[in-house]
Amino acid sequence: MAVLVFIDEKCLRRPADFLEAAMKMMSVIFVLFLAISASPVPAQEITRSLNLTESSYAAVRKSILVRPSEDQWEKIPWRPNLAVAIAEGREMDKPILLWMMNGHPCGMT
Amino acid sequence: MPFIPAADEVGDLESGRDAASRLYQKIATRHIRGLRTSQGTYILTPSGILLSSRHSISEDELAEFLADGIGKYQRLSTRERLGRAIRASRTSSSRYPEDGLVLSLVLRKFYSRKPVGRAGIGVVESNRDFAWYKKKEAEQFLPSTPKKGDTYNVPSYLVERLARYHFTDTVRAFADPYPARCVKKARLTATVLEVQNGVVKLRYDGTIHSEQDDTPRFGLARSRGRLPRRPQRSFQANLLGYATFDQAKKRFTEFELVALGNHRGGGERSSKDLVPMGVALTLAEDTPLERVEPFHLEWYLWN
Repeated sequence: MAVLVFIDEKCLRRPADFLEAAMKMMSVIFVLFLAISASPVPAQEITRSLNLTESSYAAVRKSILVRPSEDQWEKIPWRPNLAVAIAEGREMDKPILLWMMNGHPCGMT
Repeated sequence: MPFIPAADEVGDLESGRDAASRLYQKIATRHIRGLRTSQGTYILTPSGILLSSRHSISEDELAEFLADGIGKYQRLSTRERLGRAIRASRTSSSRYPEDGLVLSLVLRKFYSRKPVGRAGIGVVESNRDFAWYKKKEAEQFLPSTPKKGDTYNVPSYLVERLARYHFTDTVRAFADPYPARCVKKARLTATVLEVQNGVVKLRYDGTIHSEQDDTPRFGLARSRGRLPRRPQRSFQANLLGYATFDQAKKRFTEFELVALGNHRGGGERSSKDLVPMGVALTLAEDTPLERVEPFHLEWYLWN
C-alpha cells in the first residue's frame, strides 16, 4: 500500500517521476518474489498436491525439516542422560538443569 | 554456563535400577494432579537434592526459575551439593550401529485446518526420531556390484522397519508400531545414477501403505505412553530420496529420503480425517545427541 501511495503522489508531478517510481516498485516486487520463492513450500500447496517429484523434492524436504524457529533448544549442549550430567556436575561443582520427557527430548517425545 | 544441561527419558529413569535412575526416582514429581508423568524441568544438585522443578515454564518465568535454582545451590555446603560419586552407568546405547546407517527423522503434519477443542490442546506440527540399520543391513540399500543404470529393490524387511516403527503419527503423542500384517506395501527401489572411483550415487523411489482397522491394539513391550489409542489408522505415501555410498569406506556418506502422503488416526489426539504428513530422513551426525535410541528400538528384535 505504501508503495502505491508513493507512486500516486509522484505521478501528479511529472512522467519521469512515474517511470522512476515504477522501476522502484518493480524492484520491490522482484525482491518479494525472490523471498517467496526461497521460502518453504506453503503447507496448503503440499496439502493439495502431495506432489513428490524430482522438481518438488527440495522444496518438500525443506518444508518438512525443522525450522529455525523450532531448533533454538538444539543450541544448548544437552548431555544425553542424567548419569553423564551428575558426573560432570560433581567435577565442575555445578547444578544440573534436567529436562525430562516421555520419550527422550532429543529423540521422539 | 552456570548449569550442566541434561535431557533424559522419564520411563527409562522411572524404571531403571542404576544409580542415576534411583536418584531420579527420589526427586521425580507429578507436577500436575492427575497427570501420570513426571515430565518437566528440574534443577538439582549432583548429590541428588531437588532445588526446583516445574511441569512447564514460560519464557517470562525462565530467568527467575534459573536464578532461584542457582541461589539455592550456592547456599548449600560443598558436601551437600556434591555428595558421593556415582557410577555413570548409562553413557550411551550399546546397540548403536557404529558402522551402519543412522538416520535422523523429522515428521511433520500439514494441517489444512488446525484441530480444535480437546484435539487442539498443545498442537504441534512436528516430532523427531532416529532410525538405525546395522552395517550388513545398510549394505543392502544398494546392489552388491552396482553399475550405472541398475535398479534394485531394497529388501522389504528394511523398508517395513520404516513403515511399522517410524511412519506413525507421533507428532502429537506416542503411537504404537504397526503390526507386520498391517503393512500392505513397503517398496523402495534404488537406481544407480553413477559409479565413479568407488563412489556410488543412488536415487530411491518407493511407496508405503500401512493400514490398521482392527482391535485389539498392538501391545507395546514397555508401554511408556498411556494415552488411549485408536487402532483405526493408515499412512499411504510416496518415497523419494538420494544417497552416496563410498565403496572403500563401505558406508553411506550422504543419505536423504522423503515420504509424503496422507495419514489418518492412530492416537487419542490424531485426526480421524486424512491429514498430509511428511517424513524427512537424513544421515545423522555422530554426536551424543544424535545417538539417542530409536523410540521403538526393542521392536527391531536385534540380538
